[in-house]
Amino acid sequence: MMESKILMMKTINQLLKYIAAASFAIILSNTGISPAHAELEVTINQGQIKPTPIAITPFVDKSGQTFGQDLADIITYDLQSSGLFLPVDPKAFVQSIDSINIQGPRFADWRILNAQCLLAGEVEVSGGQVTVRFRLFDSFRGTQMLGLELSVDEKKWRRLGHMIADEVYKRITGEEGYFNTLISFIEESGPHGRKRMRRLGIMDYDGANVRYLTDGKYMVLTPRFSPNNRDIAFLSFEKQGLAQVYLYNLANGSKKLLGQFEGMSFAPRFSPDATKLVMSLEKRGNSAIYLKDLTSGSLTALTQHTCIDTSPCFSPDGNNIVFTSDRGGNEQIYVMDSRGGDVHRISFGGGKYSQPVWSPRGDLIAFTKIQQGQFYIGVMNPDGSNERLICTDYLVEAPIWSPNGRVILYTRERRSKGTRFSKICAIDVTGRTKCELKTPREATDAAWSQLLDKSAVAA
Amino acid sequence: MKRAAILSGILHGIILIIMMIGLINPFSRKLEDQRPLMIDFVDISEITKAPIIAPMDVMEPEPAVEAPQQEPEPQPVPAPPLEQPPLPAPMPEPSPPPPPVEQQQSHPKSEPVETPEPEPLPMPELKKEDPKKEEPKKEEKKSERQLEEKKKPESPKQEKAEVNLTKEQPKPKVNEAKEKKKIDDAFNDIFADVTKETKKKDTSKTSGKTKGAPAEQVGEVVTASEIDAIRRLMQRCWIVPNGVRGVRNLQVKLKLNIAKDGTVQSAQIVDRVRMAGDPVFRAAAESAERAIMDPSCNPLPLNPEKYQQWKTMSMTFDPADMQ
Repeated sequence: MMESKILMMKTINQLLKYIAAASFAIILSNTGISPAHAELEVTINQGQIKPTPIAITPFVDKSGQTFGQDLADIITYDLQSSGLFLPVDPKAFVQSIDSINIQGPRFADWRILNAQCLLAGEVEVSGGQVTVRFRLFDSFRGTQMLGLELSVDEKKWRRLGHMIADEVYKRITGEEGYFNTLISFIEESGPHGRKRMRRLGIMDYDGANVRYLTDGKYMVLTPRFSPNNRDIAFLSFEKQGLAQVYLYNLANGSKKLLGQFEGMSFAPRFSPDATKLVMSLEKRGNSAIYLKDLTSGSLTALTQHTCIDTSPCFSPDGNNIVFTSDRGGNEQIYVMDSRGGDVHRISFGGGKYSQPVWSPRGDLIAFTKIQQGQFYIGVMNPDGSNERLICTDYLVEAPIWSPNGRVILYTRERRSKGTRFSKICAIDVTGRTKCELKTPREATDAAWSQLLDKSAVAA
Repeated sequence: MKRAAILSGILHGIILIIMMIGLINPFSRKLEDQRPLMIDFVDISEITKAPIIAPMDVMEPEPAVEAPQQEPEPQPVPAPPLEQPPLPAPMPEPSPPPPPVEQQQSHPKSEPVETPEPEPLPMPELKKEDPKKEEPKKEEKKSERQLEEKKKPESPKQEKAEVNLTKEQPKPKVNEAKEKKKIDDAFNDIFADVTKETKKKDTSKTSGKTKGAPAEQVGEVVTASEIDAIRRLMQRCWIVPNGVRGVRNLQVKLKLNIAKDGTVQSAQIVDRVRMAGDPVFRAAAESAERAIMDPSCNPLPLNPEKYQQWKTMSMTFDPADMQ
């Protein structure tokens, strides 16, 4: 009896255990948890903020000229100046340039140099055309990332370098480049004061091909590129010493006064579709924001002459305008819609805000800030939140955005030994990298064109 | 008064029934579970030896683990004071319980086969000591059984039977040869059956463990510190995409296949759709992949003994905190 009862108990116990195990397994399978196949998961949320090492090899020049090396130099300058790339010293290269083009890259030779990417190609000149075939490799993954053929007129061969740099930048960062662009600036020379000569200049991104659009007889200020790269609007004091807005046509070199106004007209900026110009007009000591239609010539007031409203700038979608106003007591940043309604203040920090510029991405507004006698360049969200000051100096002002909304150009003035010296600087929107643009002399008030290959003037 | 008496009687009856039912199920199971638990400890200690013997190969530990299982049986007898006084204690339980005289003889036969050299001398000691050991164990087991059976049986008759058993238990201590052979034999038969079953369970469980079920899983889990080591290494190689549009939504998940030496053999980006349509995500994903393939971050610092746990791994790169 005892034995049979004990056996009974054992079997019942075993049954219960099986049932429990089965139900547990069912629960696990329903919840998707599989202990036997649980995969190890690791999350990396910290890393290095540093430039990507890239090997830029001189292009093989089939025409026996120096285009190959010159192109590599332009690409190297462009990519390095962005702060996102670190070109590897060519003296360290292990694989010869010829063998890359014949055998393909030996990735191990480039991994040794810690070159994450490798750029190689060849250039050929024929029939007045310069043609480049290049390839971008990922040496760590051992794959080709990009392979392109580009050609331009021989006279504009430098453009090729910028275009290749743009393609490399775009492929590695995922964002459009900004190297194949023009930069307009005010070149300053001579003694400070009334006799100081200011003339409108224009150059490539890397400081090459400098041209002057005015002769320096009259003071000029605040050049602005139209979004289609056809015109430059700028301020000139030609007419009886009054500041007036002029348009310079880049295609034919003509210049025209935008309109006859009683007082000064200044601070012009184009709308995103390049059909309108928003600017300030001065009347009775106050300035208001006006919208000038470039096709019909009509002029519309967006604000009233009750205070000083100036520095208007369209949002990239054209629906809003950001501007500076002292209507609240001191200079602050305000936003209104494109018809002048729904005006609201967005800056509430201490100090004075001015020169707001809407990023082409639409996610940020750059501005100049003066606080306790110190100048800053900063950025904030379009609603005024998340204000960040990204650089400061003796004098920093006139911020403008790169076409991709990643870099800000600004004027920086420094004092040393009783003299002042102005240059144009570029700073990454994160504030982590900055560099000084190459200009022949002192330069202020930069303006940045759109990418040239997308515009009518590009060819 | 009558009502009160009836009520109290009913209540007492209910309490009695609850005690019966309540005591049977939980306690009987717990007591049975305790035995394998004791044996678990023995096996874990044995398995920990295996990696030392054959740390590199996954298959080798199995025989290595089986060997120590057999060893503890003879070991406790010859050298109880040395290493494993705690370990052998549970192990002998299953082996000695079988009927005293006959099975003692069978034991020595099996043991010398396993470890022929050291045993011959200690064997006689075994015979002497075994009965001593058996007695207390029997007592223990019988007392356990008493508990079980006290709880299990619902009728007073069974309780009496238990009482008889408890009375009989001390007798085998003194006996082993003389009094009430019939009762002893009957009891021993029952007891032998029970112990055989427990033995079967024990052996099946121990054999399962040697093949690595519960104990090995504990040892094979990749620890937090090992994951931290991977994280620290990858942080040195990953160039964070910063300042790009929508950087707070650029989490890149990759599936890694890793060789046994810790070198990443291949990495696949999970979100292929976004990879094809979003150039910024593509750039971030490729940057993460470059970090994984970076020679200075390979091989990953992983314990080869836990290869099964990390031969495939998913790694997520999240730049949101770096902005």
